Amino acid sequence: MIRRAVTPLAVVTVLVLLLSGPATSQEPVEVVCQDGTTVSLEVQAGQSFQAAFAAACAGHMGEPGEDSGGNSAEPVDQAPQGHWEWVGYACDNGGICASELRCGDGSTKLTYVFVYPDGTRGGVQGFCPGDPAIPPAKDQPPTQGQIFKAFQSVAPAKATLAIQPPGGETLVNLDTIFSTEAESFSTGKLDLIPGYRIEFAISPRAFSWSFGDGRKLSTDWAGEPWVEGRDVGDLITHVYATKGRANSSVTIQWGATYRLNGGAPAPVAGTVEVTSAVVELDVLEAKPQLVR
Amino acid sequence: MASQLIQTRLKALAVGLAVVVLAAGCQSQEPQPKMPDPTAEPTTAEPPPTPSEDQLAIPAAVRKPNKAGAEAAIRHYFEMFNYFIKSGDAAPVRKLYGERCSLCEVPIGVMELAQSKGHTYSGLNRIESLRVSMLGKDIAVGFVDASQTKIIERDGSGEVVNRFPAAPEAKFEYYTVFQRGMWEITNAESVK
Repeated sequence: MIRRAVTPLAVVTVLVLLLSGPATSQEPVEVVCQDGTTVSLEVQAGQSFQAAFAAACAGHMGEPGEDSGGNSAEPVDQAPQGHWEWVGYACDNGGICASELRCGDGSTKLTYVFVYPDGTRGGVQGFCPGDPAIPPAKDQPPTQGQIFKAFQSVAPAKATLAIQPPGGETLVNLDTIFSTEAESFSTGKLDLIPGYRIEFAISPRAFSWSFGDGRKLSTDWAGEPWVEGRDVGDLITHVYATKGRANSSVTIQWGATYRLNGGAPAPVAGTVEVTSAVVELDVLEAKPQLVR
Repeated sequence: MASQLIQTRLKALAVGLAVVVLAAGCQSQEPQPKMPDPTAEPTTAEPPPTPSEDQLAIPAAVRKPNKAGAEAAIRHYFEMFNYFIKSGDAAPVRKLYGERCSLCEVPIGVMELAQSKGHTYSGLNRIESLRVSMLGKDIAVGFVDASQTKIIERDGSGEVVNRFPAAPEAKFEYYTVFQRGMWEITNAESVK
């Protein structure tokens, strides 16, 4: 393992931090200058550590660029080689999202990791969206997982179920009509990750009807309510054979295609299913009755 | 960028040392302790008598790329830092952070510098609570509430040269990355 040199500057910094804590106390401390000389250093209120150190160690700094620690320590004012990589949104990895990972506006921090030329990863940092200090990350397209999560966040979250005749009652051996609402739509361009905007074209792919009497039906359309003149045979219907209580529902499967930065459309890997609330239906039996 | 880097390093130093030695004066008012022979080699030449080798080994959990592994790495880091304070042997704690983690290296280096002059330290720090959140599949952050007993630095003659007061609580964020087959601490920050 390569030992990092502990430079006198580091030593001095440490001592100042030891003695001053969060830059409030100005007790004099002993520090070691670059040529090894120990001097007394006092950081005045409002004075930077660097200025105090420079003043205290005037004449004891050694040659410029000299590292009296004897090893090849990285100069403090030189940026390390490497690049930042976008990791993801801090709370997108399951479990509880710690409050520390939230920004002031409630949004989730963005996570970046510094990658050195040899591939090893160094510091990890979190930033809030819009922070001008967000490092320029190496160009990385979003993963399918990130795209799917974004799709989940914009897919419809509710489904409705309409039944005719209305009023929660129907008759045995009568066509009962079922329908829901599910229109295709486009989201417009959304921010996905830095450097990437995504646009979803979302559409219903399949409908699964549960009639509450043990019978189910799959369709590729949402059905429509019956209106005057409409042939019932063109609609989604179910005939209950026996009287009783039926709890009906419909599940809509949504799929999508996406375009990244206005590029070619591609399918989203995965679908989202949403189920309606259960609708209670009393299935009644009609008895013929002679009237005058 | 330069100022940002300096700022980062200052933070690093603050974190490392806030855990080890928070803030203090340096008057010799402590009772004189029994001291080892000041002419003896201060560090690393021989394995210390305690703890055992097993206690110094990186726990198996640290080599598992999951949340529990990241937590184990941070806990072991604290244990090995205490071991370093007690023994002067920094090798076990150095295994837990990357070569470029100046945040980790500097406080150890400072203490080693003192130890090379025959100085010794006593005291310890402790994790009071630790929560780990995964930031990616192999990147995690540990939110640590730490406490510290009084830390005493004595010179080779046993005279107290630095006395750092106990700190009942301090909050830190330790960032860890799973690489080279284990969770490695890459950086840390103090939290106000």
